[in-house]
Amino acid sequence: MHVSRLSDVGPTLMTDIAVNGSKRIGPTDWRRLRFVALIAVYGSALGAAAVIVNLLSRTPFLDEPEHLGFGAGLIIYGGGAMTGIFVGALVAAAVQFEGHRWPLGIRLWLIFGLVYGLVFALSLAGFFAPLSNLVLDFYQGHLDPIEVLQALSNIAISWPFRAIIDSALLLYSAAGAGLLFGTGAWVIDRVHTSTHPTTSRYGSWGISLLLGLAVLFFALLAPPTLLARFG
Amino acid sequence: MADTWHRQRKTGTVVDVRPLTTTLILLFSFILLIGVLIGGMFASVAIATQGPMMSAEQFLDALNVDNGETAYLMTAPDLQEAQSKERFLRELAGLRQSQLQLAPWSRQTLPYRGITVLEAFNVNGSDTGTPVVLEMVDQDGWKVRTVTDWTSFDVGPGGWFRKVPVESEVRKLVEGTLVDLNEAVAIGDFGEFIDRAGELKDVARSSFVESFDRLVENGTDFSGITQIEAALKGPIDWQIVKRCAAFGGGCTIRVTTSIEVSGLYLLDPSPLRFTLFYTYSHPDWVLGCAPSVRECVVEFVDENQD
Repeated sequence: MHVSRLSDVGPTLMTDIAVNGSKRIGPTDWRRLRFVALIAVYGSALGAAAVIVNLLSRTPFLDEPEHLGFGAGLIIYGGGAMTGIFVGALVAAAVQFEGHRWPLGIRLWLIFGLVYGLVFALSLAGFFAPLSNLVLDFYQGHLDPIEVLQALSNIAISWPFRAIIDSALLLYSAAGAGLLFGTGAWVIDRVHTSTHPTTSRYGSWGISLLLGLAVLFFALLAPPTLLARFG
Repeated sequence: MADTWHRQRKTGTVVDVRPLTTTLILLFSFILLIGVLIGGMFASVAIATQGPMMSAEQFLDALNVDNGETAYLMTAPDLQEAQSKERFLRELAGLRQSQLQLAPWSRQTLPYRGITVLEAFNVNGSDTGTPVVLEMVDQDGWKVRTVTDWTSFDVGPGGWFRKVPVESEVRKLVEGTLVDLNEAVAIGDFGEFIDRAGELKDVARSSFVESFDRLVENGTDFSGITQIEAALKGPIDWQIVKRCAAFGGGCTIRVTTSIEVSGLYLLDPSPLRFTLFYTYSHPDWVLGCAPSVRECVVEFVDENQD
């Protein structure tokens, strides 16, 4: 990690920074961690929304699309949110890996959005969706603890195959989420890299939460028949 | 590792071990988290099923000593409303000499919507290992809402077992069918028989109607069957269907979910012979005659021919 000025880094916690080849106990870069957290928050809302839209779009012909109940929704949509956190944080960390201190362009963020969509579809299909289905089955009393352990080992073994095969059903929803991710992350990035310290520190949280909640509320409150068309 | 350490001592360079420590801490935390989640899963089931399992054990103890009346008292109001004590005991008679034992708590599941589903097994006789399902509800203490075999699961409150009924029940079924048939023969209306008995639709399409026509032609009343007991042919069991493919393509044997009952009423002057099929249509056994696969026959035996 390259640091041009000591003023670029925040308070000390755990990250070591090597400067000119010598060892020095360095500060944790809260600014960068904050950026990862901001993108993860927005990514989680997008993940939950993508799962909502995807499930609605898979409603059998002649059936009326409708949202899951509270308990089931919390677990299944929560699986999407967890995937969004994971992939969002991953993309944000990768973006920050080179240590940019300026906002990236919209084109670059749209490319990162595509990456988000692809990794989201693969990780949701391979791991998080089977895991949330498993949790739901346990919560609804369909599986006993021993069966859960067996199913967990099955997920651990079969995730690469599931990721490739089952992600095909998620591609449209994931592509939409990727597009929204690229656009939203670009806005968050611009606010976060603002030269105005308060805007950078607090405004970025505001915009991240606002965008995330807007996406989430739209997915939860818009007519299911309309949402089903996006998946 | 030791070589690296010696080299570091000689050269005076220091390798920072904190990234390794951090990785180990993260790995340990991850394993700890997984362990806590799995432990929590087992603990939640153990705690949630403790009460229902205690009540279910008392219920099964009563059943195992053939004390159906005491077991009925341990059932929930839902069950008692849906099923009389007589019917409950009749269903349990289908279990015959079963000894039921609850599966261990680690094989039980979490309660859902106020119902705890528990699994038990038969540990005795030819049906050893056959699962039995109990639904427990908390209504002034944990009580049994349903007790069923696995195939009858989710049929609603009551004790329901899709087993070959006991002989006394089969005799009642046959007698009921033939009494209804006799009344329909008297007025010459097969539709009356179908309506009265509330049988399956297939009965009207089966060749049973030919038996009916012959009985109408014969014109003999057979209401006397209520005064005598039928001589049943062989043990009552599930119907077995054997099908062979053309040109020596091999045969398959399939056990259906219907029972076949054959026998004879020794009426005067001619005995009445019957072959009837019954199919379980929850909550009762109904006449299950069907074209080509379950052909029912009721006819007087011409003793001169035999």
